[in-house]
Amino acid sequence: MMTSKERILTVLDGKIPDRVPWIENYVSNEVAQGLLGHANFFQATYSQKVQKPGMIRIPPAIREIIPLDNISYDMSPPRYAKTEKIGGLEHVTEGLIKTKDDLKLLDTLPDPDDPLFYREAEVYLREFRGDSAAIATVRTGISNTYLSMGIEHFCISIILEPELVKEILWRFSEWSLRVVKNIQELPFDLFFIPDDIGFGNAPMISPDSFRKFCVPMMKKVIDAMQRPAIYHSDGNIMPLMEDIIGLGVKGVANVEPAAMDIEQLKCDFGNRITIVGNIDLNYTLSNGTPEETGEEVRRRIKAIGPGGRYILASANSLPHYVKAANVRAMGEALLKCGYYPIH
Amino acid sequence: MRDHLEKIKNAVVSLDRTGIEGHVRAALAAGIDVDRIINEALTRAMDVVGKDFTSGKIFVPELLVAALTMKAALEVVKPMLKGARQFFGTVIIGTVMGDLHDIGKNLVGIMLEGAGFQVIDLGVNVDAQRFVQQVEKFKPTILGLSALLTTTMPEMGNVIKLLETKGLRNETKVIVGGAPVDAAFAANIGADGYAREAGAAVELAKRLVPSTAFLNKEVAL
Repeated sequence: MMTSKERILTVLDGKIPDRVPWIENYVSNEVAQGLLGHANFFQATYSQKVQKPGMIRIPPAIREIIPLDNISYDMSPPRYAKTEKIGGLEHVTEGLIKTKDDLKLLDTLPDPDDPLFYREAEVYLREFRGDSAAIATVRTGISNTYLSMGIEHFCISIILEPELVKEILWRFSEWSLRVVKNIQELPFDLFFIPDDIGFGNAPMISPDSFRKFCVPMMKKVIDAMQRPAIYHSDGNIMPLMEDIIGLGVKGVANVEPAAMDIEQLKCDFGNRITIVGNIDLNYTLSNGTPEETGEEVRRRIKAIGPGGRYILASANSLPHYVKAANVRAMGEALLKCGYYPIH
Repeated sequence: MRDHLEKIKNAVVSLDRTGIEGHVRAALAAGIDVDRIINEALTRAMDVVGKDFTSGKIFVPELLVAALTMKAALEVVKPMLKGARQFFGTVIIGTVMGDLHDIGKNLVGIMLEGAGFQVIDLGVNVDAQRFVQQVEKFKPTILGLSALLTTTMPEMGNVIKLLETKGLRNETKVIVGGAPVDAAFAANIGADGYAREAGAAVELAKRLVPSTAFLNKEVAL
């Protein structure tokens, strides 16, 4: 029987583990409370402040209840945007970097070499790592660029003010590069890179723009990673898959079911990259029953699990509106059907 | 004459935001009617752009800059419109209460405008009461509701119920969209249609208007 860490590193290495691993990059405190039956646990952090990056993303106690194989700590760059909290979720409502004059905001990025920023992560790992795979979540700069500019302004600027976009991307990616160099001095096992670039039916920007604006910055940051990395995007990123694999990441997550066909992804790229996902959030985990959740997990493991290179996960994360009973059912189905050999 | 219209259309499709004003002024100087510039050049250009977006030939940046290019042309011709501009119909759009996502809704609005609809965008986090008030006020051909969250999509059903309660349900067609929404959900809440993406929303809107002839004069906002 493998440890959680061995299981995940094995599957990311293209080998077959003892069972399909399960990772989540974020589990809300509400779901954790539902699983644990009480509120007295070490909690996840919801949002970050510009001057204090770093968020705990998995309440570690849930690993006593469900067979989740990871814990996760987020060290993404700050974003310069107005936000509003509504319905338990924090939304970015307006980017604050619109012109070259606004670039001075980036001068307030905190020093990524400040050892103080890594203390919380250090404690989290020391106290709760156990045999889990410890994920360091970092961004390469793309999502912080469009969130700080506003998505529409970012898109328009790609055509009308490309140099401004490149400058912002460069600033965030330089920050992340230093974070990557620092954070891997801690005993993290892998990186998770949530830099969403997909829309419902296609990538947000063209493959050419992706290559021109994003790939060089992403490559610079990913090349510095001395641990395996998983790239995450919502939406449809099928037209970008060759470029994403070319960046050297070992996995792709979370394969949103409404936007991507995970079986097609497995067929086209499953021998070159590990697929992470994609238990439905829109209905199954949030509004479905434990029976429906278990059935979807069984179907997914049967379809994508054979041959390895598959990690079970939700289609994004486990936010507050997910039913704890369904998360529990996900784990039960995994333990029942997820051991190799899978038929 | 056709050459002038072609140049305007090509300027939108090729995202020539600086050149389009000159093409429009040249067309006006050649005596081309403003309505023809809008209907035969700009609307047709946005039809090409919309189809290219739906088919994956172009992406969000190109769509947005094409819309800016079209708007630059409209700014030139607007003062010369003799009466109110004609539209296929009026569409009220908005993201439902509890939801602050707007990019999908905005793309739908841009594409509907480009296709010849007057669009009234109520913004985000719009409660059912406000949607219904605006339907009562503007009597739109179509009401478009957007939601990006599983937790907010039931609000779409509440809007439809309130329209029914107020006796306004038959006054407008209701269409819905957004990442968690699907056709089954749309049918379940009694919507008239569902569109998976912005291009499909335009096709749906065209199907739901009673005729493809221009129907409505511009609604005074």
